[in-house]
Amino acid sequence: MARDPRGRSRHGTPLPPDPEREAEWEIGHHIEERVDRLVEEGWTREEARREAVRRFGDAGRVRSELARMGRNDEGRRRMTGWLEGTVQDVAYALRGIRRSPGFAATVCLTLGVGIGAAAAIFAVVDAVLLRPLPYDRPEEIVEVSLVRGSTDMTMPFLLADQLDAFRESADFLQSSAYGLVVDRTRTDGPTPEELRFLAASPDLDDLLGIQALVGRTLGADDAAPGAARRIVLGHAYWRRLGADPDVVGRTLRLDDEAWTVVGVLPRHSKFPVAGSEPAGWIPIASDRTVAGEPLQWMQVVGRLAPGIDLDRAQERADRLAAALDETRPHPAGWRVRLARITEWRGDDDVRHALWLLAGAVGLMLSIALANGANLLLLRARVRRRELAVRRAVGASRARLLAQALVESLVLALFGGGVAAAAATGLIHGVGEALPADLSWATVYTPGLGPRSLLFLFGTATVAGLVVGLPASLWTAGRRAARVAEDVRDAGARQSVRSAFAVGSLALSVTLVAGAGLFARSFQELVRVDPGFDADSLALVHLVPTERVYPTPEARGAFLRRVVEEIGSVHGVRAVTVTEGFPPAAYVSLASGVQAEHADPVGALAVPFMTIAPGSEAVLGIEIADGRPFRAGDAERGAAIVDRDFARTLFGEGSAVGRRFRMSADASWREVVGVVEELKLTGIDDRETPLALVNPAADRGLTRPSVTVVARTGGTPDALLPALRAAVQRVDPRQPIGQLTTGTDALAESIARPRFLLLVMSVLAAVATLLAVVGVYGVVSHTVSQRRREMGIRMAVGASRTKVRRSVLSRGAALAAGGALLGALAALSLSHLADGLLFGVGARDPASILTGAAAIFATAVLACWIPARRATRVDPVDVLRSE
Amino acid sequence: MGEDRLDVIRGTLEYLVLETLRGRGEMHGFEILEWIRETTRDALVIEEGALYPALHRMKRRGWLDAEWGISDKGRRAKYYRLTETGRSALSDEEATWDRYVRAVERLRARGAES
Repeated sequence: MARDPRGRSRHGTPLPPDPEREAEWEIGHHIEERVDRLVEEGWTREEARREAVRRFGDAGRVRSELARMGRNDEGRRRMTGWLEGTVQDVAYALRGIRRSPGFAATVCLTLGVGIGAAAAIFAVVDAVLLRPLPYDRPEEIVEVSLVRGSTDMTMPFLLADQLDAFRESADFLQSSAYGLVVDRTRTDGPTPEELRFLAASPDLDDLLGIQALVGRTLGADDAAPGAARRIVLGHAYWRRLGADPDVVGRTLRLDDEAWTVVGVLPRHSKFPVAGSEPAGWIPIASDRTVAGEPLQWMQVVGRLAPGIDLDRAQERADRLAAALDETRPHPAGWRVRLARITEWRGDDDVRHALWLLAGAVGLMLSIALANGANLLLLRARVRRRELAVRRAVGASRARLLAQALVESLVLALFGGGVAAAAATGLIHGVGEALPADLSWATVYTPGLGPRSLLFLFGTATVAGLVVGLPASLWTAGRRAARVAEDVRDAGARQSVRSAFAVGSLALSVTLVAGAGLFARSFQELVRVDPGFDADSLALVHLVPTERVYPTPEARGAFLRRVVEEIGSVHGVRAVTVTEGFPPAAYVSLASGVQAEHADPVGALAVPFMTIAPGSEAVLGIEIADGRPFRAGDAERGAAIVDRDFARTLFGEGSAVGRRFRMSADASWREVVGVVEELKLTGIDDRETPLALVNPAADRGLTRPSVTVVARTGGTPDALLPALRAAVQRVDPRQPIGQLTTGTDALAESIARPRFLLLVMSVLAAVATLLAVVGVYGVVSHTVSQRRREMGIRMAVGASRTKVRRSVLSRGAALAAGGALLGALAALSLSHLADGLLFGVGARDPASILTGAAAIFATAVLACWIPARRATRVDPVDVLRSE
Repeated sequence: MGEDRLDVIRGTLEYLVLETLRGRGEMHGFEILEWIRETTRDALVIEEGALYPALHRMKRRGWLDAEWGISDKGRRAKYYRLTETGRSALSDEEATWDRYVRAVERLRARGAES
């Protein structure tokens, strides 16, 4: 039943536009019927009419009474009929889209690109920072770190012989559990595989609130010393094994021991937060051993006791430390620091970078909204006659406002569809480019999940309202009588549209300037000399299995065979072995570095690597002063240091021959060589400029993980499979950790700046495109409005150039305004990038000026098209059409 | 016309309208009026204009539905129809209306005598 008086009845009768009209119609019908009847009875039509009106009574009073009731009814109907009205509005909007698909597509694309990019960045920010960690009340869970000596350095573990005493006395924790990430080699696969496991106390899953997806989690029985080897698979590894639901009871061979699978962990159960997801959890026995091997230390987490916040817990931990120092002194001390595990999510730099990107996306989104609003305003103007007619037949302002808003909402939701597609693509691309340190820091993989979709369509809805508002207000605010009188109004609106265009340009200047800033920073980074020649190096990371090569001699022999075998690969020129190849150098937290005959310089973080003799030549390390390593240097305590290290310890002057030690109880070492600079922890590292190179002992390297470095003739990528084969020829059971090239390894250390640069560039490009399209729209609209004026001017002799110049100057004025505002905005926003830049200041005038100039030039260029069109106006045509 | 009498008439009128529409499908205002006039044989003089506010009130109470349509004379007219609510209102309050029905009977009887 169609009750809306402004639609059509089901009989197809046009319905009265408003209650007054309806009352008139109804009364009019009655009078006419009465007149007919009277005429039938013999009255003349004129007399009949008078009589009919007389009999009806006070028609005016009845009419206003009906109208009043009708208006009240309408109020009620507006509530109940809201849905019906909305359905009609949506249908109207859809008809509009069908009528002008080009316009609709432009709006949808404009909003879709903006919202899609916003959703993609949201997905990343959400995964890394926002979405609560997948544990039970994660904000109550704290990590216990040991504070070292008098320094403020903390290490995220307790020593094994401290654990019981700590757990017994830490009454500020309701419960605690511990674990440690350990590596094991799976030996029953097609090739040996190095896997990461979490050795966990059997109560860790309870503390975290993790329940098994299949089977069960670890229990107390599994932790009995000498218990059968049992394992709970991680979700990702279980999937890799084929996601077999009947996996319980299957065995895996780890380091040649059979482990029985008892369960599978659910998705998003990665623990700890940082690092790759463990392939599985294995029990730490109650005697602190894993598969019989004693643990030296473990990571301890606890849940705060009810009613105790972090500060109070820390106070009580400090008091506990003092008490334990009295009663049970321990060489490592008892001072601990408590930190929420939610702090594990990314470091300050990650947070800074992500919030910066979120802000940049916000700017881009504003541009998309301004453009959308401009397009709808333009369309409202095109439709002004239709609207005027609808107002004249009685459509209320509220009605037109609602309809215009519904229309922009429908467009925005279609835009949301475009956005979902764009976001999927972007998240995929962003995910690929996501630096390892970002993906490591999160439990979740960024994706278009329910939270991102909610954000996406929520943003689309808000965008629909915001974008539609200016046009709706204009539409609803127009009086019906002002159909023809459009000029003054158009002027006001034109200035609104110009303001939007200038604003968009200004915002895109800030984004282009930002992208420029990161581009310059990245350029600086790429230019940084790492101190060795990474080009044409191929790297093989190996962890020689301890079981197969238990002694340093056996490992040494194995590595020598690997070096020999790789050296014989065609295309390899030289081979050596190192530990801590950059950028993954080891870092020594030395408490009292000291030069001979001098006071200790205090605690220092010293990155170091260890190289076999002859490595300097293979790596391309240039010794600036002194000599390279030679046999016996390890036993002699020789060291090669960089200029910074030398200067820190010995001041100016040659350091060669001078001695130093890392701490009071370490032995003295002698500097035999000095290099200018060696970027051991990555080329973007500004914090730790020191570098120390240790000589490998003659009998071989001692750390579990080594890197075999091969200098190739120039195509290291192509040689990687041959290198793998070479290692397997020496020992087919030896897992290969990572095969990569020197260039890629270094690039990893600049993955974050590259990621920032990539995303900022995409945002800047999209923003520029949107803003320029916006300016083009405004200028070309001006041209079409001024056709008559231009026609006349050309008719009275103005040259084409002059007309063109007048159009271009309009565009140039907008562009100049945008560029100027943008430069100022960029200047005031630039400090946000502080700390994320390398070798370039945040207030880099070149980036800002380039951004402003680029936007100015592009915008003026975009006006060239309407300017040319303006001069093609035929005066006669124009004047005739008026 | 005093308020009290108007109320009586209004109540009567509403009852008559409900009765009229019962089982007779859709009718427009003029048809309803003529039907009542013919059935009561002009005994009840209704100010014609008063019918419409009554129809609208009843519609608001949910007793009637209204819809615009085309009359058999090709005019657009507003048709009223009894709703389920109107039907049950009619039977629920039958007793209340009895008084009026009797009054109407008397009126009809008197009308027949004259």
